Amino acid sequence: MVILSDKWEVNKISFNSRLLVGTGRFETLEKTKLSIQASNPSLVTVAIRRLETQKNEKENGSLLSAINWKQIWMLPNTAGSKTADEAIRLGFLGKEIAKSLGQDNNRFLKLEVIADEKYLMPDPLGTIKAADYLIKKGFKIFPYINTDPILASHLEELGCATLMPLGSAIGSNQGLKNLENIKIIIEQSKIPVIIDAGIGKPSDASKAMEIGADAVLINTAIASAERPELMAEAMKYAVIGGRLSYLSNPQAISIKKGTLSSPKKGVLF
Amino acid sequence: MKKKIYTNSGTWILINGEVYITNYTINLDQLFEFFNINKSLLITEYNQVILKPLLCSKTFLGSFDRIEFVTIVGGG
Repeated sequence: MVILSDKWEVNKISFNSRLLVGTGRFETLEKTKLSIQASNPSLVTVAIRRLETQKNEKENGSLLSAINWKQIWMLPNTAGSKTADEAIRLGFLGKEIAKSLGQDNNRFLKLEVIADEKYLMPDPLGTIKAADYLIKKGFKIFPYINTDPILASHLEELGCATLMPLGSAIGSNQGLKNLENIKIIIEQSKIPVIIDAGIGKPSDASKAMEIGADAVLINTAIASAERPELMAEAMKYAVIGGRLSYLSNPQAISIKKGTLSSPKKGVLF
Repeated sequence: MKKKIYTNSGTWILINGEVYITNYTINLDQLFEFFNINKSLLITEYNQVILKPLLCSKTFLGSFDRIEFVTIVGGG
């Protein structure tokens, strides 16, 4: 067996696992817990919501107590925000929650600004506006974006900690729909690229790692499985396998370049 | 505390987006008790300012105050 030290870093914090796991859509807290144990992720995403005051403490069955936050790094997301202002507000709340769990240095925030209720596509302008503000306030932003290499480049220049281009629509399990753009984003970025959303099966996760992604975030594919803890374990090994494949031959990734349809000669600029 | 607005008397407070009316002077700790909430499981926003837990006993609710009890739930 080849033993490989293959850590990756975000803001000088090192992680072993290149799998991030979401906590949404699980039938029970117990299944969430078992899946997280089986997948051994580096970070776990959570959403921020009002506490249901009509339920008692036992019924609320909190993720706060179900997961060992001393061992797992929380990545709060701004899911539910349609505007930059809403995302900013959720960002500060997420930071306080992480702090209350003893993660004082945790400034990570998965930034989702989604006004599109049908396809759940991220709003690029809202994302840039919120990222700009939150970065200046010390947050380490993981922006959820479409597979737009130019947008990705702007967000990296702004100071985002990672990039999170989508594989396909949230919850769709459709896999990687725009491979070429994902490859371009991976090639041009100097910060970690985490493929998020749409990874439906372990082969999708493996593919993402084979083309050089630094990590993947998976939620629905695990949570909606009949045996989520088995799917979680499968994803763990798929990520490892894909990563080993990439490391064995990183130069094998090829990207088709564009060609201009108008002449360069005579351009005014 | 009455939940819905039907009279003009009492202090109106917005808690998690719902209107409550109280005829008493209460602080946030008493509000946690009323809802049977463990405050270590949440973050409290008081008029859009995140409140430190130590300040809850000293924060008395006034008319049209907006309180949000926030926690984490499953998300991707």
